[in-house]
Amino acid sequence: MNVTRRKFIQITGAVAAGIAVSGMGFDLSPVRAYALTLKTKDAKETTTICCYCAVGCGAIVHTSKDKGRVINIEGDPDHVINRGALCSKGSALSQLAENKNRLTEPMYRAPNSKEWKKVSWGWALAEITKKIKATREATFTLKNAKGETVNRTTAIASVGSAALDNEECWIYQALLRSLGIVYIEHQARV
Amino acid sequence: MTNHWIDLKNSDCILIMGSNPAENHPISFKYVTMAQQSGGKVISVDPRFTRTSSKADIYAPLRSGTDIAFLGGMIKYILDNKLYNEEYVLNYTNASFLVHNDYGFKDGLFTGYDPQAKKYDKKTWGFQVDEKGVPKRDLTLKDPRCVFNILKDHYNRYDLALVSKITGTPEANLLEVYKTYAATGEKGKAGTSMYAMGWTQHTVGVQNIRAMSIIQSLLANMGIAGGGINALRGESNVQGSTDQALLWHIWPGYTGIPTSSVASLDAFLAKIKPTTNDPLSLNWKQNYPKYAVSMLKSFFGENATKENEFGYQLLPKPDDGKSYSWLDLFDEMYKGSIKGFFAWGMNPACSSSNAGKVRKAMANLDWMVNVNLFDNETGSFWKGPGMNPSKIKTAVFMLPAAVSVEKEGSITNSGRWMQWRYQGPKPLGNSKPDGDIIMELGNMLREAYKKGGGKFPDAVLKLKWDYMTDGKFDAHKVAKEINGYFLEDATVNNQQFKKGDLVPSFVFLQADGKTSSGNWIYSGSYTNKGNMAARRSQKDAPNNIGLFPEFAWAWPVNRRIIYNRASVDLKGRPNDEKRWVVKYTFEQKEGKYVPGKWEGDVPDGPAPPLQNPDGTARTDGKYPFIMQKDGFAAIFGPGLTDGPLPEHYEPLECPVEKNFMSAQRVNPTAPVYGTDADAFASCDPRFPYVGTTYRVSEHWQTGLMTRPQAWLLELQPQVFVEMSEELAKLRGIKNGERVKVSSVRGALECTAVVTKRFKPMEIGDTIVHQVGMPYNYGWRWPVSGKEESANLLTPSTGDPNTRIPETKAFMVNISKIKRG
Amino acid sequence: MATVLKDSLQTIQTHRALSPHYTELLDILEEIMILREEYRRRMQRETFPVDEKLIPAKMAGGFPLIDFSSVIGDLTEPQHYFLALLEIAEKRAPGETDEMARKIIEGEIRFNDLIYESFNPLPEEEEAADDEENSSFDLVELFIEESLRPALEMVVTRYGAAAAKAGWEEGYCPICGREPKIGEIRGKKENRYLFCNQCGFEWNYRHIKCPFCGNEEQQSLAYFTIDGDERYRVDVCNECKRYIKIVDSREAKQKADLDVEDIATLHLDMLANDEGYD
Repeated sequence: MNVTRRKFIQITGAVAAGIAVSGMGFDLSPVRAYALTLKTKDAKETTTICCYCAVGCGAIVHTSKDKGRVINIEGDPDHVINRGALCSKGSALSQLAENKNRLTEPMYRAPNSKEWKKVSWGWALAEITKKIKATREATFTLKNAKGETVNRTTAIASVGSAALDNEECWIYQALLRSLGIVYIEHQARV
Repeated sequence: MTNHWIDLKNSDCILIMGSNPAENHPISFKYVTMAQQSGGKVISVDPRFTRTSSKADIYAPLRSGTDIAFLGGMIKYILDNKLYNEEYVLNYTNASFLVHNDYGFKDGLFTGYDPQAKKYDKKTWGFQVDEKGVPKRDLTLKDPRCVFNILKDHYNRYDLALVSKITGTPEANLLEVYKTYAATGEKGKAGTSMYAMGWTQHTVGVQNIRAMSIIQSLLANMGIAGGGINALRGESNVQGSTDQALLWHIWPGYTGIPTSSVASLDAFLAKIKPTTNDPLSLNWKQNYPKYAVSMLKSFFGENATKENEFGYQLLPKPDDGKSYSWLDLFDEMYKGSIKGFFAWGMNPACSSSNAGKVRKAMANLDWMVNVNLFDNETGSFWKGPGMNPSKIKTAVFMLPAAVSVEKEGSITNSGRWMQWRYQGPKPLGNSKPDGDIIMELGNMLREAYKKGGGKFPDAVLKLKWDYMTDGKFDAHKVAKEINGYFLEDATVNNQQFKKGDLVPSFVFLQADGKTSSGNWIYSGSYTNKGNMAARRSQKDAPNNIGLFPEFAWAWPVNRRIIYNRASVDLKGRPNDEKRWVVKYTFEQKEGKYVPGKWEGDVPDGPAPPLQNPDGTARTDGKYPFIMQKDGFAAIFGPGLTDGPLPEHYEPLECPVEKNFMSAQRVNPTAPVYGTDADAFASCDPRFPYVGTTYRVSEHWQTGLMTRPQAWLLELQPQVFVEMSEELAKLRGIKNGERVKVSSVRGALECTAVVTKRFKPMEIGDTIVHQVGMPYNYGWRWPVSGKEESANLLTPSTGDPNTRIPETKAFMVNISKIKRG
Repeated sequence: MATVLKDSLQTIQTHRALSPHYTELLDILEEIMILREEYRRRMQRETFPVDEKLIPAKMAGGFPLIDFSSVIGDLTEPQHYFLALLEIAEKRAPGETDEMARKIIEGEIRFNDLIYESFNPLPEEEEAADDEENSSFDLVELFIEESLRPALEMVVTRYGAAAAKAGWEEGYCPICGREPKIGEIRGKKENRYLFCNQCGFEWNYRHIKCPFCGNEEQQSLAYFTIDGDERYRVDVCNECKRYIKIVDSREAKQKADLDVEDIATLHLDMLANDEGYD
């Protein structure tokens, strides 16, 4: 296809037809010298859909390469619904991601304790597993009062979440149901 | 939404009732404005003059909880003035069906009511059928038993004076709204409705929407561009999470759920498969057995075999006739039968009605797992107001989740558009994507049952659980599982497929275990052609009505407007040439009409229209309402718990002693609960004002994600109560001062906003004052701890069908705070 | 379309003041702009006739309105303009361009061939040229491209709106088929526009998609900016290793003059090259 800009700069045109044009090449060394003084910042853009209401507005997330964090989140002009516009909440999306109030470590509150304690993921998930299993073992019923097969526990309940992605919702309900949980509810009800 | 956001611009009249899109779905208002700019009218009906009202052409106030009276009056107006679309009503709705001879309605009760059980026996609510089992119809609409005449009789009682007396809406306003909206019944005109929790959160929530559906059916507004019934869903993926069945009463894709009495898979499949004897009814739900079996194959993979009923017995069953819904769940927790609890990306301590009951209930738990972005009122309930941590035995795990921009996957908007999101930054600190937490927990549980055994371990161990890649949750793997695979080489519908191929759409799913699909309505979203949800093409469809068919993907089968075959006449010609959705062109062979093709949106099934261009009937045509077993829009709806036609009842807590419409003051099937935390106060002088809740633009739901943000909190720092100038004067309250708002269940402190946006109403002989509060607050943020949840006031009752709580109409008092 | 001459000259003046290293190039550009305006006015007839009926089909099929892959037609007017442009170089290096001008006038070199080959370069020559290291900027190349500009602008004026309306979704110019070197994010809707230096046409092109290979895989697309100068960014594709410069005009009072901006941002081309992007 076309001569690319790289060649356009580096070479002397070398337009076919065999014309020697060396004398007409223009010296770019001052520009080169200038370029060497510049510091570049790398970033990427990813599209997202706003996490608040269900209009489903598109936004572009700018993430810096070196820090790995959000530089800015702005409306996606190519999104056919919002065409770049965002409401007050959507405009503040970067403050949701880059927020010092966020939870960044698993926390545990022991029975009757007055405080949270920072714990590891491994410990937290192992403890939760023990608790789920203990409650399930203690309360699982194969048959109801009428003698019908029910294979369930009504002592564990779950609420949430419309804040999960579809794929997460699907595996979450599968896991809950595999445990025999029937009290499954979420935001659709409130 | 039957339609979608962009389509709002195609409307000639938008009835905004039970929602406030200018503030709660701000970007949608762009399309409302576009409709207005093209000459369309916007009507806002709301107890409060909102920012939506300020942009509307017509504003009508109404008393909270009286929407059915308001809409019933519109049905009467349409019928009295013959403003309905006769052709549509006759051909596409069940108006001509003959109702069971024993059906009746008297003084607020439909036939079959059992006052002890507070339930209806619905057997008289059906239709008369002929010898072939097809519903009998009277196409002259003269038979007194036909739906049309029953509808007329029912709403004849909703005359203007009575409606105005109930709703508090002046008669002139009612008439103006009725006249303007009913004008969309004209051929080529489109009217649409935008509703949200202002309609659903009532003891008559479903019937509010049913009333609008009847209006839309009478006016031929279903299936067309600029029409439909449009629920404005409030959470970015509440459509998707509902579709994926994070609800007790459904399996993914709404195929129902087996209850305890349904002992075998065969019995279940028979139960979910509706039958029709009318060859012109497509009765799409007859395919449900294919979807249910394919779903079981996704649940249990190779462990689902024909011999073990595809794992049917491995899944839990609720008891027949018992509800396991939100209100029931917290009622049980309050009573102590629930020991373990997940609050995953949710904040029930503020979002639940009667939040005080919910908070106390949590103290009965042995353990709670709370997954969230920020510390919140649910996870930290044990140190909330009025709690004594040393007396609360609940072990609480609070797990940090990644923000949506830190993970990959899809969400589904209100218009059913499934849209893909990409990962920008990696999760902050040690937070994790929810998918990883779920997978890791699942792995550990399976390990625990594999090693240690336990009760009914098969359910846990036979689950297909291979959705990780390199130790991380892989959204693509699940998205493909949801779409579905061919599990063996197969030839379906004359097309050949190899084992491992992704199914192109649910049309190819089978009931023999040869296909899988985690959720049939999403089948077609991730195929051999790629991830359809990630598409971003800017091209519109040939009809140029803003469908953008290659931008993202809409369920089902990328159909952007549901019931679109109702937008054409019997011959397949669009009723609206300018904004056509689909149209059919026949081919001719040897002087005969043979099937041709549909153009435009993906039609509701490929079958030809009901008539040839010359008006002769076709035997291969299909009725447009394919999800109804009879194929017709249901003006008379026999399926609901509380009646086949909407009827006005007062909210459970109301300011009037008597329902002016009948002897039944409240919905006779509304659920109530009996613990000491479930007090109700109707017409109680201690709580004389009607309260309602809503949201502000700057906070989202309980505010959990927005209150910890500096900018948004600065914009809306305090919970407030809006009241009329008249009420403020009456109570000696000044704008800006802090006041106490209380109900029989709880109280909170609010900043008074004295405004012209609320006006006192004349209801019967009394003046009724209404007040409103945003429910976006809670004690954890802002850190002052003084901005509490308005849901401390709201009652534990709700719609008998959905059990969505009644948080939009309840009774409160307002008083000055005496300090020092 | 290019802005009016007065604005362009003002923009050049601004850049000259801020970036002395571009002074000489900007001087030449200034002369070109003045000359372009003269030839714009002089244009008598359509050099590139377009069959209006074919526009929708061409646009739908991804074909530019003018096809430079084959016959070009009567280029008398562009040739005149080219010869006039050569005089700009002649002033700086007397004698250098005489020979070329003579060969063209006497028919030894067909001007049409120069144009054809500028659109359809021979691959082996590209490779040979790759070895060269020196940074220089070839004026003849620039003049050849520029020579068609007034003639192509007529096409843009006449049919540009139709092309824009057709919803062109390609990364090359819908008028002449050239690939863009620079683009702009601007306007209330913050769309990304690509600019064709060849004909001066601009078209809306989606963000986060490579104009050259169509790649939409977001994790393989990136951009860089210069620390302290957020007005420019360079969008790169790690699939095809190409790049495009983008002027971010959202904060600016007026739209950018992309002819000028392209020349005044050659340092970005150098930095992109250094990172291995073409």
